[in-house]
Amino acid sequence: MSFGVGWMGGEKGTAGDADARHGEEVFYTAWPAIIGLSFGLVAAAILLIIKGLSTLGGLLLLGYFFSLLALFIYTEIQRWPVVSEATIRRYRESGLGEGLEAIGSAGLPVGLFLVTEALFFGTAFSVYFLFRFQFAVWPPPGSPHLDDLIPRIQTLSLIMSSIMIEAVIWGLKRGRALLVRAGVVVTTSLAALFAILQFGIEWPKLLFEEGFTFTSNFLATSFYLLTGIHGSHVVAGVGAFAVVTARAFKGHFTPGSHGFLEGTATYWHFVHIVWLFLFILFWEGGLIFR
Amino acid sequence: MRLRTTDFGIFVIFAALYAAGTLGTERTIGDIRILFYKVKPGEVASPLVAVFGVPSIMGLAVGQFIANMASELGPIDLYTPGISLAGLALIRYATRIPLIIRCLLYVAITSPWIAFLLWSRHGVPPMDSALSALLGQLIAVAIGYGALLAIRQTKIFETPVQPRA
Repeated sequence: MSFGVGWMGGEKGTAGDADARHGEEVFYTAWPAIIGLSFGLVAAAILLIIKGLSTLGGLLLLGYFFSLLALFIYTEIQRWPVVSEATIRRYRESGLGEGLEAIGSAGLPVGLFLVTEALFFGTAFSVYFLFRFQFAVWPPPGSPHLDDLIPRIQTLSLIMSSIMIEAVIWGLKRGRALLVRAGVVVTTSLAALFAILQFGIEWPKLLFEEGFTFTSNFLATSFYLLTGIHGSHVVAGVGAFAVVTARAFKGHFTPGSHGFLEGTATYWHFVHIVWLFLFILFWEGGLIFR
Repeated sequence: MRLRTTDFGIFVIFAALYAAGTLGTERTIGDIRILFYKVKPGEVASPLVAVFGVPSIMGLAVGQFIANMASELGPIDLYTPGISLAGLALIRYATRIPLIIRCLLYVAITSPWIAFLLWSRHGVPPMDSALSALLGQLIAVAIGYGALLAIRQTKIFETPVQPRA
């Protein structure tokens, strides 16, 4: 069985004994390397924009990167049904059975991943506090009032999505198929709502209507940095939940085997708690104490 | 003790319920004041730790810490989660005492500290501080106790889990 031909027309071969045993041909593709290296373009673009060297150049580089990414995703989408089916079948046929998807198997990798995430956000928050406490007055004079209506809706959507994904796990363990399917759809929708509110409504309003840009002052820089990092995690969560939804509808999860679902739920809870700190610090006057 | 995904979920959900419940309610419907004390709506979740266990205790403490970052009682209110932690642990673990008494003990533990903060930070007379804190906490915990009884009625925790196979 073929996994399809890479768009870059890579060399045809086998991916080792394991695949050869299953008679599956793999076509090597240069895409992972291209996408990996292209992140250098993103770094260069951010530098060009933030340092004020060339906004147009930065935007062009970003556009080039996203074009590559879109092309990659487009080609990959063609293969997903085949790859997904083959992967699931290999899990089931292997000696591991459903072991890779067992709940306990998700614990350590997800835990390690969350440690790296905690260190990442810890560094970002440390930088924020390091600079913030050097200001005699906070927020810095001239900063606009950040309206908290949208963040309150976002917080509500996170709370509801966290409760809903736990309800899905509860229902899965008790054979409630309808609850599982409805729950993953609602969770994914709530996660998407959060991202849309942030990147589709709040940021454009601040950037283009209120002139609160990345370089306005330190509050603006830290605001876009921290909420941007968090928002990108939300977008990743939406993607993960989309996969969870697809797999839930295909009946891949069972009471004893739903590691991916639990891993995604844990990740989402982490994203949720980080948001609480952002919410209090940027919108609710956290640590100002007037 | 093995940490399950659901434990982490309960921890985060309770932190969010306290922090967002307190801040969101204030911003949405305004301050809820009992005499001189601005009630923290997140306190309503306190009796629920009797059912949801240690993750909910830790979650409420963290949620309270987050909410208190914007407290009108000042930075000293950041110590309050430490006091609450003791009261919440009592609700959870002193199982020989009837739950309603445990909830009242929680109020008895937390309200003197709040009264002290009202007196020291805002200069409210001691008796008024004590009465405000006691009534405020009592009302919040009473609502939470009602919610707990309602949750127990659903028998949600008694639904059997399917075999893993």
